[in-house]
Amino acid sequence: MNLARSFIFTRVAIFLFFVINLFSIYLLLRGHNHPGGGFIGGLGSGMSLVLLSLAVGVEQMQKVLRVDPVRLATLGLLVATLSSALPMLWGDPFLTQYNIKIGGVGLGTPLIFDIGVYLVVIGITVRLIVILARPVEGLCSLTPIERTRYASEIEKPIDQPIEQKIETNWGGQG
Amino acid sequence: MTAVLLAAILLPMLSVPLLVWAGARWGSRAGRVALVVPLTSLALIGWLLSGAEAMTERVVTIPWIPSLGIELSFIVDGLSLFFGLVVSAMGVLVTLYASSYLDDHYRDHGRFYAYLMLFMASMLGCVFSENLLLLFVFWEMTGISSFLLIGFLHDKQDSRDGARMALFTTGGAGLAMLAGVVLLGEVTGTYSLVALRDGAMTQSMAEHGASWDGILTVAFVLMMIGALAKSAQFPFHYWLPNAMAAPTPVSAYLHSATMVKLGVFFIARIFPIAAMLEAWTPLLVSIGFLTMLLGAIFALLSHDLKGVLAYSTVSQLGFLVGFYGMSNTDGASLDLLHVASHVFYKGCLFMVVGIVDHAAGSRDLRKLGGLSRRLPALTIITLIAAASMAGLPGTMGFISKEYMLKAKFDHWHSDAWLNWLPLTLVIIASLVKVLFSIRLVRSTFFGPLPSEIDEHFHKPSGWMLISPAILAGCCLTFGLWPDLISPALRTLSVEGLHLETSIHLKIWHGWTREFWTSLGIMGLGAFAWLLLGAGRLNRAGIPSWLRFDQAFNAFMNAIPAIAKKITSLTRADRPMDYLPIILGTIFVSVGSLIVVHGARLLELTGLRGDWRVSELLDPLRSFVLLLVAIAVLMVTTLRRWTTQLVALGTVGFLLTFYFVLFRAPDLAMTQILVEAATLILVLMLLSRFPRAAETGERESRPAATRRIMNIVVAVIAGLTVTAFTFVVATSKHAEPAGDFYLKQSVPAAKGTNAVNTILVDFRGFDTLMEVTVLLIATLGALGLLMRYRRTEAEAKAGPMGPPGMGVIHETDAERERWTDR
Amino acid sequence: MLLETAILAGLLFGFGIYQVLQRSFVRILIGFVLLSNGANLVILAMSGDPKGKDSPILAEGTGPHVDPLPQALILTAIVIGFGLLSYMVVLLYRIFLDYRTTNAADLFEEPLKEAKPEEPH
Repeated sequence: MNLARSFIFTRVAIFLFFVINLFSIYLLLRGHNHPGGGFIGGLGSGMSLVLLSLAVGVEQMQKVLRVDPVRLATLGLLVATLSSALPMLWGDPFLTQYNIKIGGVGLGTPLIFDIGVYLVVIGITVRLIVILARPVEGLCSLTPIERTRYASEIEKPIDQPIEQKIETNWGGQG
Repeated sequence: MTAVLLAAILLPMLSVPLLVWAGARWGSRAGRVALVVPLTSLALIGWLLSGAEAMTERVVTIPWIPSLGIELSFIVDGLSLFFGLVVSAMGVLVTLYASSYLDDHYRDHGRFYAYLMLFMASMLGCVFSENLLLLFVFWEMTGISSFLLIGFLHDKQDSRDGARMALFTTGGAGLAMLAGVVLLGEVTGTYSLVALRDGAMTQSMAEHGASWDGILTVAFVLMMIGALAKSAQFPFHYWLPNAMAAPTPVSAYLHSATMVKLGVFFIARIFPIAAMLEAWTPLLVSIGFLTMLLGAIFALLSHDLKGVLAYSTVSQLGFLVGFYGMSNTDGASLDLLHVASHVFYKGCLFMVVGIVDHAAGSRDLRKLGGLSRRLPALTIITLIAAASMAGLPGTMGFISKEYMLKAKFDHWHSDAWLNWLPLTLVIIASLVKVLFSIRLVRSTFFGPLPSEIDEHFHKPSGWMLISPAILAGCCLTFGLWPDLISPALRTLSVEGLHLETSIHLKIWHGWTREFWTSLGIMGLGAFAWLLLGAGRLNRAGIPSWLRFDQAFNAFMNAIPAIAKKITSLTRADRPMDYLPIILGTIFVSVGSLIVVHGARLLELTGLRGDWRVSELLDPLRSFVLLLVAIAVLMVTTLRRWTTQLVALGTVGFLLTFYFVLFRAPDLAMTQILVEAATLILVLMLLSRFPRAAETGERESRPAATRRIMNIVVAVIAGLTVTAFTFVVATSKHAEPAGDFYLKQSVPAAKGTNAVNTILVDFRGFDTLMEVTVLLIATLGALGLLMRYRRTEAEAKAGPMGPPGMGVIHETDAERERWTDR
Repeated sequence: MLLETAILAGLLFGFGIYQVLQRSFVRILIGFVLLSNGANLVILAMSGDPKGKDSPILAEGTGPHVDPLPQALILTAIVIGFGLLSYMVVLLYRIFLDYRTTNAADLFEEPLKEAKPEEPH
């Protein structure tokens, strides 16, 4: 089903996408000293991507995002965990944060941690909202590439009649 | 020495995954591979024993959880070495036996040997433990591994029942033991057995006087519940015969030689500590000897070969328990002789039963007979072992029984019931033992060979005979030359447990009263056999009310039924009814607290008596409040989903106004963004529900009573929350927790946004966990959409519902690829 | 200030609970959103009357600052609440796919074929 779509809405949304993203990165960076931070920045970025998908479609949005949102979130979690665990290498407790000041601008490991949070929030916002934005039919709520990523081959529909069909579907992926 | 001991215990444990792999690869031949493990442990423990003429006690301690007083602390002394030898030597024999017994008719050989080695490791850990808590951990591990072994043939109902019964009985009683151990440890301040023996116990008793005797007695009784259940003493005797559903090697290992001896071992272990308590003798003597008699009688009345052996084990364990009970506080003697004698003949007989079962296809004494013609070697082995069980001269059982009677006679110097009762019971039980020993041999190997047994008969592998033959040989050798064991008994004697006497065992003591009694028992036994005859015994049976196992199973089966009744009584299976009950309970209880303490709470808020509502309400804020109230009311009353959703969005956006008023810029921004995301998400969901659902919902409304009840619950909840929030928010704190963060935000976290420093620095771990939870929720949501149920017709209809808002499928071809072709 | 907040929180809780007790999936979902908003307000009210205080941004303002701890808690709660809500949305959709109903009463009032427990052997 093809929704008729307003030209103005599309253009404005694309424009807004850039503006919101810039603003959300600004919020992320100044978060330690002023209102903002990883959560807000991440939600902003995530919502800008949702807006884009409303304007140009989920598939186009994913082309812009380039990476799978779940991978983005996992990367974020990895960044946050590693930045917390790193001080343990030289004997400091887990989650020790270091701060330095360069030319009046405070920089430090809290920012790395916040970037991790930011990435997780972007990833899950986009993934969760887009999850129902496709024709959903069991495994088919995922694109073929995603299916190979998340679904193991053992996963089968619960009832028998469909089984063969789904399997041929898988066979097609290959 | 530390390394050797740890290797002996850990090696079987480490071999577990290897054996699973070996079983998958070599099938039934994995048993030969598994044999390496107990052999190594045996060699290592033998090495520990070697070179020590008089065994000195050695303790190995590795700190584990020092703050709780738990240490990996092992003790090497006579008692632990003796049981360690029994466990590993029987492990060798049983593994050897099992490697022929578990032929290709069985499955999962790797799993079997893995469980067996796990069990052996737990047993070794248990007997070498010096710390009571460590001992308990291994104790429970033996329970779990025995559960796995009893239930090994888990496709049979009786295996499952037996395994469950053993686990619940020993595990449940184990909890009582844990309570006793903790009580003892907390009262005396140490969990170390050596420290307890060397004065911690007497010291604490001296310090606190007689009043603590009660506490120590409670601790002791609790520990004894665990120990007696493990050794299947009355009233826990029911689990052992039911555990016989296990494969026979398991029965021979666990249920005659090792695990059931753990209770006896534990009693011996705490003998130097607890024997001074008043409760020691009456408790152990009464339960032990009562069990001895009951077990013997049940053994006579059983018809299953394994049942006979199981009950006779119960009986013998009862004797051992009572034996420790009546030993005076200076120490016991020759206890290890009785244990060893029992291990030899009972392990042998279990293996014999396994062979008979294998060859004849039956274990029922009423159906068997005449096997001596087919299995002459086995008959000889059985005769020796059964003679040892009956206590005929020339066997180890005779030596054991002579000294047992001697101990009882020596003890009989006053008229107290604790003195004459044991002797009487021991004599009766020995008589019955002679009877069922005769019955066992006679009904299995002699008499006519029934035709169906003859048809089924196939010859067992010669390998299976090795282990029972070795055990029977031991019975005979040590029976004829008993002095061979004396040095071992002297070496293994333990300070505090054993009397310091120079032991010299002799087969002939002259015409003593023990000998006459022994002769009398044998003669009477034989006479009684002639009198009763096989036929009359075959018709008898154990009264079912004394077996307890049916009552236990009925109890176990009743638990889910009772739970179901309670569930349906509270309507917990119907959330529609249950939710108002839960919510009503919570809010009524909290609300009534607020009403009861209303005056005091009002004082806390700092309001004077003459306050007016108008002072507290601001026109602008009240206007916003009014708007929210209208929006919320619309959410509830409107009938169209989309309009409800718009009203909901209004509520969310109006709330940001309050966040701004509370000086929370971060929150206001987050709220706006999340509200937008929520709206889109719920709209996506609504677009997938059919329109008929929306209209149908309008038509079907709940009953009036239900609606009134819901409204009542909701009103109470609203009022409670209002009162609660107002009281809590206006109450003054001397020092709010937040002050710390305000003060430390710049100096410690180098950030001026106190909210953000809390999130990424002070409480960074919470944030880390939170983002983890978010990721998990996302993966869970994805998982929910991967599999679901549908009918064939629906599958044919293809993807359902309209696609999401504003979503365009780039091409029809692409879309086809995603859907079922 | 606090009285209005308290009334507002009570309002959200009362209507939220009323909605949660309904049978329609959509109403339960809406009730859930109302409840989490109400809970956030309750926590926020605990930071006390903000009159004469500044936001917890220490670089701005000179007066005393409001308590930052409830704000940090709520920030977390809002995001977690969103995660939970998304999961609920997908769960309800899945239930709809499986049972073809948007009415919770249909799931419990009459015994479902699928929900029949297996006979123990």
